[in-house]
Amino acid sequence: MTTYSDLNTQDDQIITRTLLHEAIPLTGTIVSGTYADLNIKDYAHGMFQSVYDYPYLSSSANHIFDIAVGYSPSSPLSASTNNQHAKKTNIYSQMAQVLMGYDATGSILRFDQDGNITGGGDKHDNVMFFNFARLLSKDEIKKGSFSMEFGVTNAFAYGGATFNSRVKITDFSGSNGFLVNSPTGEYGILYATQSAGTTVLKGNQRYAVGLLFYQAGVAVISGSVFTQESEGGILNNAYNDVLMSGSSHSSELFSAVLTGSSIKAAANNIRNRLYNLQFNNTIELNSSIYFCRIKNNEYNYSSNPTYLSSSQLRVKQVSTDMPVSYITTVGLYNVNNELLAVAKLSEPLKKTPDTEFTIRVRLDY
Amino acid sequence: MYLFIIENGEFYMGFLDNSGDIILDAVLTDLGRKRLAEGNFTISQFAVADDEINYTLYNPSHPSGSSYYDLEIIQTPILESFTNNTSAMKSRLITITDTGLLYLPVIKENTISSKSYDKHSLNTFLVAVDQKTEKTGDFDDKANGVGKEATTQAPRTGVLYGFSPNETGAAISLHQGIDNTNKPKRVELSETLREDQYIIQIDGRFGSILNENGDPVTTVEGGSLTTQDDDGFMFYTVSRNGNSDIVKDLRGSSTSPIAGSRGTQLTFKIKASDILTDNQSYFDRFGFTVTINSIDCKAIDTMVRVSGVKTGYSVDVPVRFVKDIS
Repeated sequence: MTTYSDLNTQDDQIITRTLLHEAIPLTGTIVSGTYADLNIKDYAHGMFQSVYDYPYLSSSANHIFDIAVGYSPSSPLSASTNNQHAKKTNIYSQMAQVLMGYDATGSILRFDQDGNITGGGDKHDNVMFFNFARLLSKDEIKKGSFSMEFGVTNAFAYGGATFNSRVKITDFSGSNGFLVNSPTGEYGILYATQSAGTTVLKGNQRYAVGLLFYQAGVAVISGSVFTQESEGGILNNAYNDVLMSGSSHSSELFSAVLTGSSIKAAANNIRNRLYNLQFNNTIELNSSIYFCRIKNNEYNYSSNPTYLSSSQLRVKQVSTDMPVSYITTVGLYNVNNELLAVAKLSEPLKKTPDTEFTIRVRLDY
Repeated sequence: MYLFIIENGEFYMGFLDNSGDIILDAVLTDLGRKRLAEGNFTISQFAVADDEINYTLYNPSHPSGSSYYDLEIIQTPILESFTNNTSAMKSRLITITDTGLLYLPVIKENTISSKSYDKHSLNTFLVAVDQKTEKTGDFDDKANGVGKEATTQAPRTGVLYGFSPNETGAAISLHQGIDNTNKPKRVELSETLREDQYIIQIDGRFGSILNENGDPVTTVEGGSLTTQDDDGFMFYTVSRNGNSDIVKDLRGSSTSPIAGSRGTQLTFKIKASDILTDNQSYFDRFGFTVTINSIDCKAIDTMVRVSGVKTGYSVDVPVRFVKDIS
């Protein structure tokens, strides 16, 4: 007579790993107008700006991502007279040392355009950083699912404007082509293509405009997406300059914003050109499945106080009747009979001596 | 795969029913999370329970036949999991290979064999937490008190001496057996159904368990198996061993509330915790003010749960810790 059954780790338990994905769609109006910027949080240090999905003073608000801008000390734009020069180079260097690492001499590596670090090649020196909250990116951004769209119409507009000319940035081929030479895990190349308008880009092809660090949940996007070909960008020269509203001028180029505006002002400008953003996240779910095997001659009686009337079983009239019980709950115990986990059935499960069950109880971590 | 069904002499073809695959998602209890944090989380056994089931709904005289006997039971809605480890798995199912049993043992409070096991007139056991409440030691002034009668100075019925448990005082006694005369008391309860071990659960903030002599539960009595959960509940596993003062055989000749075959008896006392003895903070937080035997007191009502390890049958014994504040 017993009320417990042993669980053998060899035969009755298995560990499984499952990757779950959630779609994270985000329209640009949320980050640029829906809440009249009450969902935008700036800090006294001025190093970055946080975007929430609801006015951030509300307890319902969830952090979505942070925006920052920076440039490499090697960038032609780097000058000590720039607005927040030190902070912009510090941001770049901090992100680069975490995401790209160091070379053999201990110098911080710059963001490489094609990821071939040892091969040299072009670098992303003037960049925007999008650091996605762990709440959204979870364990990692699903490879090949990232898509971000910016308005690149010549004239600038605040407040959730819809731009007629747009470029879409995706981690094209990310699902089967990604790089592993970063100290913070895997990353993919972000490519820009035209998504709305005519002859937006300088050529009819994809352009590498950034890097997406999947596990870190960081997108590094070059300022070239807002810059025309003659100034080193990817936009068609005939398309005219993309104007960003600046702190000191009513409209100015991205390079001017990067040098002349604060990080906060630059983040405001970039956010207002964000048209759409979506990706799938990945959750690595580890589960222990316990096979609770209930044989025909087990658990046919109950210790429920209502089971007996003057010690006689209510479910039996004579001793030859089969005992009956009803399972509603499965409890998992340690060797000291301490209840560590509980699982519930959706409806009572009738147990008689002519039935047996294997109940799979899954415990997720 | 096909299955051929013969019904009323005709053949039918149907698919196999694969709805028997039962997958459940489990949630960790608060104690499970604590053990996980301690790096001491190993699941080694399982049990099943029927907490929501009310077997009085089983209707063996349903006019529509045996398929309808348990119709109302099957329709019982099931609650979501409780994460408090003491709130779930209250009534576990039992494995007994003999399917021919018509009677099962119960555990009943023994309030008839001796006055010292009877409850107080407030229908609960009182635990006096200090000498003033007990009327012992320096407070033994022959006057009326919670613990003693005024004139006779006899210990009051149903009052356990929680500060001086070695003094006479009352004790809690439980008897186990089949409470039905169809299983006569002269017939010994089978070894399969006789409880040899009990688990006594008490809120450790308020008290601890002693044997009938007022001594701590010894290793022989299984006292080494005492555990404490995350909420401070103490679990004493006590056994019927050779020298056990806490679990004893219950003979057929004994006076007992058990009408039929008898198993074992469990007798214990309760020691009040130091914090209840020394100050009133817990009384102010968990308790209330009450007049007992014309004495102004502060009191805390709680339960001591006793479960049989073999049968899983459990009873809740009401207990009131009292402090004389007059």
